[in-house]
Amino acid sequence: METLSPQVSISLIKSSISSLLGTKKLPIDRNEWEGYFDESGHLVKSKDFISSNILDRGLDPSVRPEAWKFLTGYYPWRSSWDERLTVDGMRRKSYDDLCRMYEKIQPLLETEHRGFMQARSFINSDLQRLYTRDLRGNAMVDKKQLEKILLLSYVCNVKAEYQQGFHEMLLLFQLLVEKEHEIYWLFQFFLQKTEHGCVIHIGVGKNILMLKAVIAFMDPLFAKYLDGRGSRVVQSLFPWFCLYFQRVFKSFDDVWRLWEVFLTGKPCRNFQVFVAYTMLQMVRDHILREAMSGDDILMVCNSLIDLDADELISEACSMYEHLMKYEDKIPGELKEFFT
Amino acid sequence: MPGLVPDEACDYLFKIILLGDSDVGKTCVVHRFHSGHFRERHHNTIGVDFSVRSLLLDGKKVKIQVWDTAGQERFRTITQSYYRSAHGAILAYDLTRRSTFESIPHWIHEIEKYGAANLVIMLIGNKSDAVDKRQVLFEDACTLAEKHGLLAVLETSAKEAQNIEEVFTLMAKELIARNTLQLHGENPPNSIYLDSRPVIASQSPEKSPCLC
Repeated sequence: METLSPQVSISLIKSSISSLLGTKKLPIDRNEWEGYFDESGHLVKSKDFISSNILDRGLDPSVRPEAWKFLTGYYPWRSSWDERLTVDGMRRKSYDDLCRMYEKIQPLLETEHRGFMQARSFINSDLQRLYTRDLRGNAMVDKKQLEKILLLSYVCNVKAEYQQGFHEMLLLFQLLVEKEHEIYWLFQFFLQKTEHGCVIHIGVGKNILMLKAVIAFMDPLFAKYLDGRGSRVVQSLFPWFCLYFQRVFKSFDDVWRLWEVFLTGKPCRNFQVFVAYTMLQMVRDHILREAMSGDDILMVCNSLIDLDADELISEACSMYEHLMKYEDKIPGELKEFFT
Repeated sequence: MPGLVPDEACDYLFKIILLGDSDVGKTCVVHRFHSGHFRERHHNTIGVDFSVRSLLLDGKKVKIQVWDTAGQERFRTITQSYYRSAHGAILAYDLTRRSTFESIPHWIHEIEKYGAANLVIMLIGNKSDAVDKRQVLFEDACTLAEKHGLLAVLETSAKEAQNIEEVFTLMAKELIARNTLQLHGENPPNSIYLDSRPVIASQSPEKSPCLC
């Protein structure tokens, strides 16, 4: 099969032309979002319609706090204003219950649970290093609150526990919504909705495996080259998944933009693998031209920062569509992973 | 970008891995060595990052690749695979936190288990700018270093650029002395560790600044 590079170059040119011409699509703004609801607060547009629009255009920051509640499952898609008020009350109550339970068992955790103390020390040192001032030097983060939520999450989400990097992820939820129970639940629902794909011992290994399979299928020449550089080359890209690409962007807006696409489940399940594949394609020619070693590949991949989310998403969609052209030939495991 | 320049010939290339508990200042040490600056705020390391710098030692061009590693256990199954190709390891503790020093035997064990047999190991006690908060005596560090046959101990401050150059210079000189890798100028950088020869396992204690 032909390799992707000609298509990649063409679509890269296309996207730079469109940004030059200022044809960037406008995100869903407050007005448009409010138009999606009837008088009682029921959505008049389908989940599918909204999701497709989010994939294509993204959400305006003013809409995100509410829209994310639908996307994560905090609110049911079919609900009225009143019902959502009830849901909100319920979420608040269950969060308070968790906090009370936590307070009760905390002394026990401190003395009997070695893992707890270790997690707490990671959380503390990670938070200490977290950059928490805006450009004007104003504090923008309540670290005490982050610590509390991370510890609670460690205790309650026994699957994920605490992973270094969660503190940065949680920060994005804290900046997104106001109330503590909203921050906590949105983060939990986000992890769940993305199938814990960022947790090293849960989803990351599978993501890496599938990324390898996508490279092998779509770009066999490159796959062969990478294989020749040792088995750990693709594996060493795991921080992309562990942080859901948080560090490859210039702004928080870009991160939210990408994550809300993950939440829509569009254009396919496990879209993050196409995002990673797209990033790898950005440096592919460079790698081959210079016949880079495994270390240099890692270095050039680590240098992919300050990306633009709109461009990355649209590129990754092209990659996905390209793969779909060969639908009858796609290996079963890939097909299953993406649907 | 350093390391990617293909015509950058050098006499030696050494890979040095940096290990130690979370928040002892590993990334700051690398950053100081690499750029000459101190970064107060930075990301914690997820996985491995590395940077490259060239030094001129006794007329030889030495390229040093420093691998900075994540602290959390769950990332280590992947990062351990990087230990094997390292020529040297720098184990770091924070001299204002005793617990980070007490973990050092654990890190030595890790490196013995997953690293090459003839790895040169050095110990650094970082944050020497904060001696008023000291919890680890230099003597204790020296005793530990001697017990485990480490090359040396140095107290460093990434913040005040104290002893950072010295750490890497000392490590590089030791590696050259052991003649780990003779890199011929005409070879492409990729073939470097294929040329690796067994190391003569002789310590040179007189070089050690802690006199251990």
